[in-house]
Amino acid sequence: MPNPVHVADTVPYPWPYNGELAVGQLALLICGAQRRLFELSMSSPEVSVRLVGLADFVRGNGGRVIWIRHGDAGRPGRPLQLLPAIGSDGWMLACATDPSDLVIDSAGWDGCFGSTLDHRLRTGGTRTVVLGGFASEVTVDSTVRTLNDQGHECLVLSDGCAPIDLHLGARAQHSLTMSGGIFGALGTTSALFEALQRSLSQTSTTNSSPTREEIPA
Amino acid sequence: MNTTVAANPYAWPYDQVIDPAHTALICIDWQVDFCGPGGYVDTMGYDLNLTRAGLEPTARVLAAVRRLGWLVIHTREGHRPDLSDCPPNKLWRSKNIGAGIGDPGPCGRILVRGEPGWNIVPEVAPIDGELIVDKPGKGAFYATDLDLLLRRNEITHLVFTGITTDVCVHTTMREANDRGYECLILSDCTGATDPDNHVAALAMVTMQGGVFGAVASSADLLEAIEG
Repeated sequence: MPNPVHVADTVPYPWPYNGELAVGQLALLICGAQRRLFELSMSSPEVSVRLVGLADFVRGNGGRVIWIRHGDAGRPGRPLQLLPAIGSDGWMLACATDPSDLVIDSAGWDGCFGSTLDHRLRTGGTRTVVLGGFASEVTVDSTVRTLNDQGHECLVLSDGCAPIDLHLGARAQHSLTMSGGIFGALGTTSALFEALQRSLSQTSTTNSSPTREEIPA
Repeated sequence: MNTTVAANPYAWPYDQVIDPAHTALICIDWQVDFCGPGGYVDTMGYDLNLTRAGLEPTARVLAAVRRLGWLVIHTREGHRPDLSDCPPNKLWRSKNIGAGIGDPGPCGRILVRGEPGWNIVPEVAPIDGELIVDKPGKGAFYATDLDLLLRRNEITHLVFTGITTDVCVHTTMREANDRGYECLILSDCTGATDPDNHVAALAMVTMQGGVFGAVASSADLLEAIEG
């Protein structure tokens, strides 16, 4: 068993809870990187630079990058001004994705609703989920609630979230930290980078010692 | 048929009809564990007055909608006695702050089905004929039969009371809104362990023309339905 690895200074507990942090078993979930939500959110350009940089690192080291596209799929009842209709200009992704990334459509604010997200996370061997995104108090905050109920161990990036309303975005992140981490934990992009690099160097150290398979017969 | 409720940010409901045959009152987690002495929230050290504040107005709303024949659904968060439905990270976090799920407390084992702390407090307890949904998580739609019960009863409009505003009530309202239910949250019939999070959770509902539905006081609702 490798030594436990935690991200530094996560609130309210050292994340992940079991110290089993490995980029190959991590999914970076970026919610609402869509034209309408990107335009309405505060600090979208800065946040997208951080998320795209993290996505490059995660993808380059065997992790999963997943983009959630929230769309109105013929929602019954009252039309929601903010939720872009599928196929409309505002629904299109506002960031460049890689062909190896997953783009998952959800039928509401919760990335799990009407989507294959939970299935993909379970079948893809994901052990930890990191979330960021745009209109974050609506998209990220809805998605992390359901993922947490499903048992996923979630980290929300405090500097990887671009809310529509800065105050409400901050309160949504504060709610997450209540009761010992009611939906997971909160941390920064730089601390996550550092912890992932630490876990990679630990893995490479482990791999450099001879294993049973490497000993010639 | 009734007039609409003077709600924020729009007169609720959007289709301007509060039909008792298609409207349900959802009472979220009014359990001893969340608002009673010796329960889970009390064990974590939070001020119980914050989560008990909505009991009295909720009792008034319950009395009114029972007279009008609305469907009433109560939810309870709790786990099986062997905790086999409790995610390991949820269990770890609760123990980490000294209020371990399944551990013995003044109201029995914390957040366990069948224990005294899991019961709904007497002020807003279910009566015969009302539905109770037991849920393992925060959202009342996840791993429960709530959506089936609502469809089977032809419910399209939901009015929410319960605790806590920013956690279980908000999660369930977001789930319901995604599914197309027309949602109203009663500001004085809810409460949270942090008053600022309570206020922010209500404000979030009203963003962008009502991104999760609308907000009204119990007095506004009662005026509309008892008119």
